[in-house]
Amino acid sequence: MRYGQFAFGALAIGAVLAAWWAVTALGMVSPFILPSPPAVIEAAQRLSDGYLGASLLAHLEASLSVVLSGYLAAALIGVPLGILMAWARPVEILFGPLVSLLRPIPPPAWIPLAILWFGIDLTGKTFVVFVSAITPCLINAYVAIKEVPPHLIGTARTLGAGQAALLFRVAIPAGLPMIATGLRIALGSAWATVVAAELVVATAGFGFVIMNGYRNVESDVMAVGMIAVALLGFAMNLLFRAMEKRIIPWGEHE
Amino acid sequence: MSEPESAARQTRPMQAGLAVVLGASVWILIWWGIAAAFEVSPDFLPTPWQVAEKLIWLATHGIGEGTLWVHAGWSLLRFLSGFLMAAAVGIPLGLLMGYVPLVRNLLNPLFELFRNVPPIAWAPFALLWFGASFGSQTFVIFTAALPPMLMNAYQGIRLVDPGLINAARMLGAGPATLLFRIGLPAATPLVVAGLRIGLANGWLALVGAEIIAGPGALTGLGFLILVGQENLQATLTIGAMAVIGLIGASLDYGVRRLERRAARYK
Repeated sequence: MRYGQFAFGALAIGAVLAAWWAVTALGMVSPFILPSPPAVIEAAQRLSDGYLGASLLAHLEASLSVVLSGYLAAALIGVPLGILMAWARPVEILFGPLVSLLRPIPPPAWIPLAILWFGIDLTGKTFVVFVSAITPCLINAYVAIKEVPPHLIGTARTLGAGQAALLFRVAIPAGLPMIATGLRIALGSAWATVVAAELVVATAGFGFVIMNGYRNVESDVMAVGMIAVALLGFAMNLLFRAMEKRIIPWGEHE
Repeated sequence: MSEPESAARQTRPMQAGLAVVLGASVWILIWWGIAAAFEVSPDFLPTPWQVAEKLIWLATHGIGEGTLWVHAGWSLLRFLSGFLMAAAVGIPLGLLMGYVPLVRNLLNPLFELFRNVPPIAWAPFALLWFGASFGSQTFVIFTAALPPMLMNAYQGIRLVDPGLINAARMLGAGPATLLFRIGLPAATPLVVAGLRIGLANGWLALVGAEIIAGPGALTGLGFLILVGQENLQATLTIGAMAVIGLIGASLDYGVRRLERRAARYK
């Protein structure tokens, strides 16, 4: 990034922060509607000690454990299934219609059904996260294998590669960058979904923090919850991209 | 691609559509078989027929503020108001970002900052600001649908072939001609692709916002899902989910057709 762009960026973000601070400090909006920046910092300190029976760290653990278990299950099932659907016609014929049947239902719509089926504890939320994350895992793996350049397959076959070698040594490595993109999209989707599920029903987690702030008209607590959600989403994305670059150096990285 | 091959592909959509319908019926039969064979309580997993019956009943009998049509109508209205507002703001702003470096440099960092907040996380603040009604849901849909439309419009202008612009400029085209005769037509496919992503995001956000707003809202398909859960009527919950999926898929189909038409500009 050039220095000029960086300066403009700092200027824009600084201007928004200054405007936020000014309208709240001058009393132009009620603190019930929009908390002031100092109030948010103060609330963050209060929350880190403990809020509604759990410290900020415990809420972090609650949200993260749900997101990771649901996400890992989705990746472990979705990616191999997507690859198989692209590779073996019978698997495609069997599972393709199921995917097109379930895909149009937005993940948040599963939240009440998950509560009905699994109750309000972690299992229900893990299920919803799984549902939201499996679609991008599966679709990207499927398209990645389908779009492997035919000349790669043809060349390998000419050189005497068998089915297993074609799949594991040619198709999957060639499709890996796109599979990784699917996994990254799925992670973002899983994170957004766990927050949504916690907003609906939870006893811990950042979505729970935000919703309780809303119920108690504590807009500063709500803001802390949202900032925490944003920071974590950002950190997960950053971590994923770093891993992607290291593990798949042959992919095209933005 | 050679000619015969593309001709062969022409006949395939019909067959592919038939295969999907057949395959889908197989899965619905499996669902039916499980629910019937294990005698699962309809409050937990109803059969497809029980769900259909519930939807037919709901078409003439009201829950909350009205029948199925009333709820679907409200959901669509909320969705459209948020989606159209996002398009009206996002596309012009994105085009402007593509054209004016100052606007781009100022707005890009802000988008990078805010895109880390999942749109649904805005729902509680929206409820606080606009109340549990039309306004808050429109706001959440707007926040969800805006970024893809804006970013695609911006990329659409940025990726216009510079040779095209230079050629037009040499032939004496002014800024207005450049925008309306070169920039916009070239950007159209990406702008329409942005509409499609924005549509999917917005529809997802609508359902999320309706569920988070709680059963107090009394209208919307998300409300029906919630009522079904709270009254332990899985028929209602699953029926409303099916209607949401159906409407979402139809909207997506419509925009895809538009997209195919727009791609011809290229």
